[in-house]
Order: sequence, then structure tokens, then C-alpha cells
Amino acid sequence: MSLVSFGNLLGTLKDGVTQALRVVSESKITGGYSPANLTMQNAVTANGNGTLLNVNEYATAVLEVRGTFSATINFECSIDDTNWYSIIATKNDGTISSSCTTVGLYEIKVAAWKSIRARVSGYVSGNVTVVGKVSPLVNSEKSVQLTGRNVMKLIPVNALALTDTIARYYTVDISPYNNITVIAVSTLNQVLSITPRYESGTVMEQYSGSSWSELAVTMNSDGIARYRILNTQVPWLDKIKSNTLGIRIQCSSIAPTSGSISIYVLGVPN
Amino acid sequence: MPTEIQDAMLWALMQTYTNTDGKELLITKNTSLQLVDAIRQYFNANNIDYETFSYDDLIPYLPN
Repeated sequence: MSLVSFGNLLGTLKDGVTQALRVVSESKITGGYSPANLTMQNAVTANGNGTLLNVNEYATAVLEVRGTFSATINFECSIDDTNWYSIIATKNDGTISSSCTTVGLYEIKVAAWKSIRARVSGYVSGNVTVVGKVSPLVNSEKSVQLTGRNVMKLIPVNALALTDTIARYYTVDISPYNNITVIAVSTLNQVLSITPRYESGTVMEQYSGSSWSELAVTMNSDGIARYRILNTQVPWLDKIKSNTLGIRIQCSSIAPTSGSISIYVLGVPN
Repeated sequence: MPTEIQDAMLWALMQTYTNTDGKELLITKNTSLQLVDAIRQYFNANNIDYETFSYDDLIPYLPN
């Protein structure tokens, strides 16, 4: 073996070891591991998407918005880095919004997403910096465990082309999951209501301060496949501990003549 | 499913859809929502009667 080929072999081995270490370091580690901060917008002076923050396998992202500016920073998430959707962020003062125009710390729940971005729009003046940091899915364990990616995707309603106004009921086994995210996408050309329920055959009512009522998500599509996170309108989905999740869907007024509806449940195993 | 499902499938798998970023993409057997929507569009355009169906009902007619 020549010195050149021996050197190449060493390089290959080194790359392999580096790659293996990188894979390990990117795995979900319980016990508090977090990667370094990422600058998503670096003193920008124009509208732009900025750098994506990889949140795969992480539970929470915190974005620090810095600078002196007149602009809007939009918090957006994606499962494929192609389609982007607004996501709710909680500011350090407790206010909730999917965008901001002031500096501060903004916390975003990111379990089950691939990436998030802080898109700048409506830029008028100044400079905007956004630095992002993620925290692991589980950080209460004192021991350190490497577990890797483990988010399951269930599809209880798979592109259902409704042609009537009959209510339909679906049941999802969520017993293996610690927490779930329910996502719906509808291209139906009529108003659709989706009602998540704590176990099938039940009604899940919430108290508004004066009365009890069941929370239903209404979707009115314009024909474009927009994904909506039902957890953001039905907060108890974040807390549910159950064997099953019931889902009721219905176009109660007029039967659709085009489009379809899909519902996904993303679960993080116990 | 209507007897015209095979024709509808062939037609649907040659269609495209536009995603929310404005990109035009080809409908495939993996784009379940867009495939079902296109099949439905074919049924409507050709006055073919059909009842509520889902992607799962299309699986026997998907190409290998």
C-alpha cells in the first residue's frame, strides 16, 4: 500500500469516526443535552427567510430576537422544509403570537417538526437578529440515554373525499405515546368541523368560565392544502393521557363536491 | 368504486398540483390528498357518480 493510499484510508477512517460521532451527537439524549445556538437572522436589513433551525427530535425551541428594528418576525414550522406554517410562540412576558415586532425571548413547542424559521417580513428599518436554541424531548431524566429518532405518524383519516353531511367517527390508539400532535389538512370545498374526543364514544367539554361546551375545529378550505395543528385550538390534546383518541368529522351544512380531508397524529412513544 | 377508476387513476397520475410555496409538483401515489382530489376531479368532469371514498379505497388500483 502506498503512502498516498494509506493516507486516504486514514482519512476515510477519520471521516467515518467523525460521522459516527456526529450521528451520536445528533441523537436525542435525555439528561439535558442541547446543541449550540444557531443564528437564524444575522443583523438583517431586509425581508427574508433566514437560516433554518433543525428541531427534529427536540421538544422546545427558544428564539431570542435582538436588534433595533421596524419589521415583523414570523415564526413558522415545517415537516419537509418545503411547506411552511405559522406556529404559536410564547414570549417571556407570557403573550402568545405567531409573529413579533419587538425584541424578547420566544418559546415554541416543536415536537414532531423538522425545522422552524424566523421569517422577516414588512421590513422598514433597523437590523434584526434572531438566535435559536433547542432543548431535548426529555430532560427530566438524570441518567443519559441515547435513543435516536422515534416519532410515529398515524393517519386515521387518509384523504377522505366526503360527499355527504353524515358525521363520521374515528378511533386512534394513542396508548403507546407520551404526547401527541394532531394535524388536519382539508381541501374540501365546504366547511368541515373536526371534534377531538377523549376516547371514542365520549364528549369532551371544556369550561369557558360560564358554560361547558365541546371544542370543535372548523376548517373552511380555499382549495389549498393547509396543515393545521389542532393542539393550538384544542389545548387539552397536549395533556391527554388515554388509551384512545376519538375524532368526529362532519360537513354539517352542505355536502362537499371536491377535495378531501386527512388527519395525522404524531406521537412520541412513552 | 366506479368502473372508471382505472381511467381516473391513469389521468390523475399525470396531473400536477401547486404547493403553498408556489411550486408545481407531480401527483404520485405518495401524495394521497392530491391523488384523491384529482380522482374526484376526474369523476366530476366526466359526470361519474361516486360515493364517499378515501385513499385506502384507491390502494387496489395503484400502479406497482
